[in-house]
Amino acid sequence: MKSKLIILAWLLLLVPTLLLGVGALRLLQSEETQLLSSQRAAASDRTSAIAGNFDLAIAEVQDGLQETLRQLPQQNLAQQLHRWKRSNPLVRNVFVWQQGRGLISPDPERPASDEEAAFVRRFLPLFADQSNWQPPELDQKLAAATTRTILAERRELRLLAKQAPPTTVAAEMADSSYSAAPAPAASKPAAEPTPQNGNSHWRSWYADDQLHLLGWFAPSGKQQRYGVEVEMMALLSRLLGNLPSQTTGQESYALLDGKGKIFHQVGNFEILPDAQPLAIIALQNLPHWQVAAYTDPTAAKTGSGIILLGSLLIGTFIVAILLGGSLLLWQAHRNQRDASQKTSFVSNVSHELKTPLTTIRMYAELLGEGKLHDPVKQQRYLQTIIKESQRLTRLVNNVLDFSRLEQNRRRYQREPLELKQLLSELLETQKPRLRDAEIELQLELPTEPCRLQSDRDALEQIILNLLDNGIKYASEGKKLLMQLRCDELQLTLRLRDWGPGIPSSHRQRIFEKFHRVDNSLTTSQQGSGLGLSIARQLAEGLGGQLEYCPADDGGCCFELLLPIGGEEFNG
Amino acid sequence: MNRMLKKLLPTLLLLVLTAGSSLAAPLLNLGLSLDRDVLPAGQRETAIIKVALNVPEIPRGIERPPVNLTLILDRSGSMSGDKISKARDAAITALRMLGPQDLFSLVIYDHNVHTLIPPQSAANSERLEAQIRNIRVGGNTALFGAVSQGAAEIRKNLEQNFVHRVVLLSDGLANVGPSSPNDLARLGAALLKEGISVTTIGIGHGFNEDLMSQLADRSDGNHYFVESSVDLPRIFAAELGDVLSVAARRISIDLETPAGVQPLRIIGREGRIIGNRVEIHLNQLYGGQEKYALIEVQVDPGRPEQKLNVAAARAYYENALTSQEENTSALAQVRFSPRPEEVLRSANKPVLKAVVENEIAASRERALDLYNAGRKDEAVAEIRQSSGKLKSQSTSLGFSDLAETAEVFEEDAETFAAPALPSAVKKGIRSESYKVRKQQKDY
Repeated sequence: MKSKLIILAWLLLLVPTLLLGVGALRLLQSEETQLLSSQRAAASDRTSAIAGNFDLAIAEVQDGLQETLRQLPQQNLAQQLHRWKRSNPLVRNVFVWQQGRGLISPDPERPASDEEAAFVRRFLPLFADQSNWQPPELDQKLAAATTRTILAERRELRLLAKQAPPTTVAAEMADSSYSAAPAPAASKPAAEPTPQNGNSHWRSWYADDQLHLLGWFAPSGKQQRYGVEVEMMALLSRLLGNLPSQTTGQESYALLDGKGKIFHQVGNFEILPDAQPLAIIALQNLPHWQVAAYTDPTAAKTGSGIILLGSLLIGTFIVAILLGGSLLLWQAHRNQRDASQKTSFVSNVSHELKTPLTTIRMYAELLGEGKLHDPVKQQRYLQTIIKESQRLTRLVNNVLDFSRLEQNRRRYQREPLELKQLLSELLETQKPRLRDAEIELQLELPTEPCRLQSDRDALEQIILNLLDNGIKYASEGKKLLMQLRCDELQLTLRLRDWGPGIPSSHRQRIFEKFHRVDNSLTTSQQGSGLGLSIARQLAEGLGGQLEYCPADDGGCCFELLLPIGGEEFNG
Repeated sequence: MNRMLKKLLPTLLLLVLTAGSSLAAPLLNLGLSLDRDVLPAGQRETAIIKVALNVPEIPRGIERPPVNLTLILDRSGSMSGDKISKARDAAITALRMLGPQDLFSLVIYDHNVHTLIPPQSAANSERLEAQIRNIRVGGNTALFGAVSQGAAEIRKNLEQNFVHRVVLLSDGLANVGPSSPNDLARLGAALLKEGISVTTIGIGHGFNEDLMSQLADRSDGNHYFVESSVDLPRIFAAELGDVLSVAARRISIDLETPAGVQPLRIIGREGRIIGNRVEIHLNQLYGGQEKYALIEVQVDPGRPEQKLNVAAARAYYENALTSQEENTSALAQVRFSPRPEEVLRSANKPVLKAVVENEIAASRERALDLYNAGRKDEAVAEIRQSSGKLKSQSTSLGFSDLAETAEVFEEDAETFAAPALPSAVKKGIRSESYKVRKQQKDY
């Protein structure tokens, strides 16, 4: 019943502790995922800002080139274009194309340089009208998307800022097909070259496994298109500055080319080719190119280190709580046991005291009435009274000894002793008890006298307590054997019985105070549970030891070892 | 109308020339010479025009234009040990050669690109030297990004009157970002338009010589192949010697031929041929050096004793010493003769020597391109064919020593026919050819 209560209490301790631990771990994990997702979101924001910068820069370049195209004087167009190409690093090639006639400049038959020949070859399907001049669908979609994004708004703003005071001619409303932007140059000061009306176009073009950007202007009313191929390497080289020059913490950014390969990277660590990006944003003005953010894989490990440390801490707390709780429970359990042992001790001792007292009183009353005249009977009654008072004395002595031992106040008087003699004197006084219990005591003594320095009273008490034990619990064995062996250093006294023996579960505890194998008032034998405890404490006080030694053929055996010299006396 | 204009042009040019000479004499000396001044009459002939630009030594006492130099140092893992320490020494050598009016900046790169020293006066060199000595190695090679950033550092002072120069030093393959020679060539071409030349220095046997030489070629810088890092400080000194002696900038040569004379190709250099016009651009000319271009033209049959102006050329440039725009012009004339011995006698040896050297250099590079593309047999055939052609040409004009040079060149065929071409040989071919084609000074 009690153990169940303890288990219940322990479970009450265990379950909430474990729940607490699991809860803490969960919290830690969710904190981690939240941290990671917020990190991811922040990286995604930064990446899209970078991508926006890229797109904006490309849009600026495209607008600028288109504006130049628009404003080019029409006479000697090819030469004008060529001069422009020679001075502008962003212009790789220029061309003039006419419906029906095909490419006019550069001359496809006699290109002026290897580069121009390569240009003609690269865009041959377009110039030979084998390919549609309209941008591919992807570009169109992107362009449509662009109009709704911040890019379009910025363009509008930029073009608005360029707007000059209106002239009288408001008819020059430029095309509205290119974008939602207002006519960029509807009203320019007359001094500047008059911009043309017409349509501007851009399209991406894949050749030689690379992306090229081609922009052209088609003046309205003419079957002519002239335009520019962007110097991609120069553009990209300039664009690299859009990646942040200084990155915070453990983040790196990369510009990925159309094949997903790293074109350029910035950051505190090197991005490995197989690294998984934290965030990736596609560029709108550079089809298939992307900007990506990465975190340091080694730094991620330190993050999980915090988790590990956290779980370790939680584990330690749980173990500490469980251990502390268990210790408290165990202490409570022991206290309870000790209290019950003391209670049973008090009732035992009272009972023990009461039995001889009752006997003494009864016989004393019989004798006191004076009705008994038989001298033999009188003698026997007196002897009984004496015997019972002796028992009472023993009992009181034990209790007194116990309290003295408990308070460490027991003093030992060292004196020379001869054990054989002491034994025979002692056993003489015990003969009536042995006879009453119908027990035969066998003595095996050495021939030589056995001398030692020790405390007589303590030694007698130990032997009496052992003998008492034998008489009380092993009377059914009908036999006791006492062996004494002396050598130069120590003596060994062994008392063996053939009683029921001691269950193995109790063997460790028989020397504890108040412990009885069968600790109930109804047991057949009375006792206080102090005998063996006192005997051992006395033996240790004399510098020796008292041990239980199991016997092979039932019963039990106690062994007392004492030093001959007795130098190690306590006090 | 156009034709009329072209006929008038030589006379116009002459007029301008006389007018120009009456003012201050131009800094540059433009000279046109032909491989033969006399051509056989009555047949279609090819001739080669050498357009030479001679720059006099910059006289002492004249202030040279200030230099805006960006050094780009490879500090990838492969540079560890002696290479980086010699590169550091070389960078310090370069820094010490600059004056307080010059700007110096330093970009270092591995997989990342980092501006170690932003553009600043080279006067406080001790502090900069300490920074250079602290450069450590590790990582990959982001060459494209490094050149981009180097150019960006130059651009901060682009508007001012500096000689802009990027010097790139690398020992490895570009393995982050664009890595094809063509891509880097395009970047070089774009930088040239901004007046930025990139000099490339390749150390050891690990770098991509095609990429490095093309980047230098298109941006009109120098290209050096340094086998041992011990030579680095010397190379830097040579490069700085060039940079500090820039006399003219943004040179463009316009050469025009009359009807009946058709430009066919430019030997060794990049340029444009539009109809009867040839355009060649150089970013700078160094004091005391001659740079030239060789243009092959086809001349229609002429009458005996007819004189013909085969080409009129004009060079436009900025005098770097005075920051003034100047121009100078020259004419080339041939005579037709029915007598073969007269034709033979008129052969101009210096021009032919230049032709043979440039043809050999170009042919070597073509052969190397073919070899690299896995077409080994064609590479061998290329060399055999062009050496045979040069030999017979030289012999027919009576120059036995040039014929000998062509014969020695034929031995290269065996090099290409061998089972493997060592990396050092490839790099040697590229850098030697480069030197010839660009008339780079010996180092």
